[in-house]
Amino acid sequence: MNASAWAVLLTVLVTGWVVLDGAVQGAGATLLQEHGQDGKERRREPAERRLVLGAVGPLLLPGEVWLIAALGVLIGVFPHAEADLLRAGYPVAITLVGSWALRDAGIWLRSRRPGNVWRDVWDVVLVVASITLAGSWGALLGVAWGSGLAALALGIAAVVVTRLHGDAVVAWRLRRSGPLPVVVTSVMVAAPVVGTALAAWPRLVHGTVSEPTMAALGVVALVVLPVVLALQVAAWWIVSRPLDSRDTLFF
Amino acid sequence: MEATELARLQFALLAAVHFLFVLLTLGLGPVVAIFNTRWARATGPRAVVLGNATRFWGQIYLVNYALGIAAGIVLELQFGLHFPGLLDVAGEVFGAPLAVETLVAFFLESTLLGLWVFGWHLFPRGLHAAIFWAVVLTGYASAFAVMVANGFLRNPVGYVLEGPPDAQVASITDFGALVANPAALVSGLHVVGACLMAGGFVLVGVSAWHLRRVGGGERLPVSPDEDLWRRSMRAGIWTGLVGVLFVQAFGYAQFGYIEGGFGENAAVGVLLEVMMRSADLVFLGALVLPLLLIGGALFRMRGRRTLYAVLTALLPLPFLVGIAGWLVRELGRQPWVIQGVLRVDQVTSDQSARAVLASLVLLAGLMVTLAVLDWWVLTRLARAGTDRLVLGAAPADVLRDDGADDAVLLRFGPPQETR
Repeated sequence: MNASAWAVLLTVLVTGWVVLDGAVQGAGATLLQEHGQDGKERRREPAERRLVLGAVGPLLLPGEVWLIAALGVLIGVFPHAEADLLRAGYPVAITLVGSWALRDAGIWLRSRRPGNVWRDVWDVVLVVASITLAGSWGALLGVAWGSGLAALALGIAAVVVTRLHGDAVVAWRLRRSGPLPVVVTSVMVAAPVVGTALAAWPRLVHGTVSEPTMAALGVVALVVLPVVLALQVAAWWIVSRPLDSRDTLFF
Repeated sequence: MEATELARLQFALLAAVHFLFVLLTLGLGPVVAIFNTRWARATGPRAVVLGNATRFWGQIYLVNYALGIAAGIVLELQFGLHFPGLLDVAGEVFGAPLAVETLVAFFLESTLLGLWVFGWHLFPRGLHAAIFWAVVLTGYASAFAVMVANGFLRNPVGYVLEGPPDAQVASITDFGALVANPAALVSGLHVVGACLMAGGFVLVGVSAWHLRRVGGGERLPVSPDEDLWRRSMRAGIWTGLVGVLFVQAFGYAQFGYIEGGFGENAAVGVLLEVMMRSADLVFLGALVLPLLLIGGALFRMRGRRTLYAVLTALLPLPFLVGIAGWLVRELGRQPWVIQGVLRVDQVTSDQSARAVLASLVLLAGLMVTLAVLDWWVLTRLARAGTDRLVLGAAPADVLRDDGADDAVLLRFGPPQETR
C-alpha cells in the first residue's frame, strides 16, 4: 500500500468512527431529554433511558475502536502528521481524550449500582461528556484546517449533527421511523471528516514513513481488515434488528 | 519541575493505571473462556452453575475492560502529546508495532467483545463461546505487539539510524529481529505470567470471601453458589500456579539481555528486590495450595475460614508487585527513551511546564479517580455474587428493575429461558 492508499484507509477509519460512535455520542447527549411528539421537551424515565442506551449499546465497543485504529495508522504511517496535529491542537486533544474516558465510564458504570442517585449523577456526566466529546472532535478537525474559526464552527456543527444522528438511530431501532433518516444523518456526520481529509491530503501523504514499512504494514492490514469488516457487519446486523427480547441491556 | 519531568510523571501515572486493568483482563480472560466453553456443553444443574460462573466472571471482566480501554486511549495519545520527538526519530520502528496493535489486534478484540456481550441471546452457545476465545487470543496478540514496541525501547534491534547528525531517523532493517527481540518475547512471557498470577489471586480471593460465608465444609457443595465458588477457587489456584511459573522462569531469563544494568536510579534496586522476594513467596504458596485440593481439603479442613480471610486479604499483592515490575522496567532505562540511542529530554515536546502540569492534573486526576471508582464498583459486584447479574439477563427482567411500565414490558415478552 502506498501513501494515498493509507490516507484513504485513514479517512475510512475516521469516517467509520463518526458514523458508529457518533450515534452513541448523540444518544448520550440526548439521554435525559426527549423531544415529544407535541413539540415539548420531556424528561426521560429510567426505563426509557435504558432502552435508548440498549438501542445504541451494541455500537459502543465495535464503534470506538475505529478511531483507535485510525490513531494507530497515524502513529505507524503518518507519525509526523500526528506529532504536528497534537502540537497545534494540544488543549483540544486533551479535552477529547478526557471526555472520551468520562463518556465511557458513564455508560459502563451507570447501571452497576442500585439506586437512583448513582445513576442520575452518571447520566449527567454522560450527557456533558458526550457533548464535549463530539464538540472537541469537531474542533480538532478545525485545527487540521489550521484555523480557530474553523475549529469553532466544526465543533458546533459536530455537536448538532451527532444529536440528530443519535436520535435517528434510536428511533430506527425502536421502529418509530425508517432507516432513511439514519442514512441522511450518517452522511451529515461523515461530511466534515471527508472534507478535512481532502483539504489536508497534500500535507498528509507528504509525511509518511518509508516505502518498505508502508508496504509491510499494508500486507498486515490487507490480511486482517476483511476479517474485521466481517465482524463489524455482524455487529451492525445486531443493531439493524428492532430492539427485542433477545437483546442485552447491559448499560 | 521541568516540562520533561512532568511529562514523564504523567506518562508513568497513566501507564500504571492502564497496566493494572491489563493485568486482570489478560489474567481473567482464559478462565472466563473455559467456564463459557464448559457451560456451552453442559446440561442440567451443572449448566446453571457454569452459566452463572460465566456471567459473574464475565461481568467482572467487562467492567474492568471498560476502563482499561479508556485508560489505553489516553495513554496512546501521550506519545504524540508529550514525546513527539520519539515519533519524529523512531516513529517508523516504534510506531509499526503500535499500528499493528491497534489496527489488527485491538480492532478485532473490541469488535469481538461487543459481539460477545450483545449477541448473548442471538448466537448459538458454542459460537458464542468461540467468540470469547477469539477475544482472549486477540487480547494476548495485542499485548505482545505492545511488548514489541516497548522491547525496542529497552533493547533496540533490527533498525538503522540515517540522515544528518541533528536530524537522524530510524528505519526498520529486520522485522524478524524486531519481533524476536528477547526484550519483547522473554519479557512478554514474563508479563503474561504476571497477568495470570493476578487473575489467579482475584479468582481465589473473591471465591474465598464467598466460601467464608456459604462454605458448609461438607464433602460436596451444598448449594449451586457454593459449587460456583469452589470451582472458581480451583480455577484460580491453577491459573495462579501457571502464572507464577511463567513469572519466575521468564523473569530470571530476562537478565540474559539486560547488559546495560538498571540505570542510575537507586529505587530500581529496592523495587527489584521487593518484586523478586514477593514472587518467591507466591511461588511457595502456589506449590502448597494445589496439594490442599486433594480430597477437597481446602473446602473441609479445620481453620479454613482463617485461611480464606488471608487469601482474600492478599488479593492486591500481584497488582502491587506488577507495578513494581513495570517501574523497574521503565526507571531502569532512564535517562534513555531508547536505550543508548535517544534520551527522554531530547524528545519532549516544547509545551510549557505549566501546560503539561495542567494536562497532568486534568488527565491523570481524571483517570485515577475513574479507576478508583471502577475498582470500588468491581468490589461491590464481586461481593454481590450471582445476585442480579445483568450480563446475559433477559431484557424484561432488567427493565422491570428500572420500573418500566407494562406496555414496554409486553413488548419484550416474559422472561425467557436463554435456550
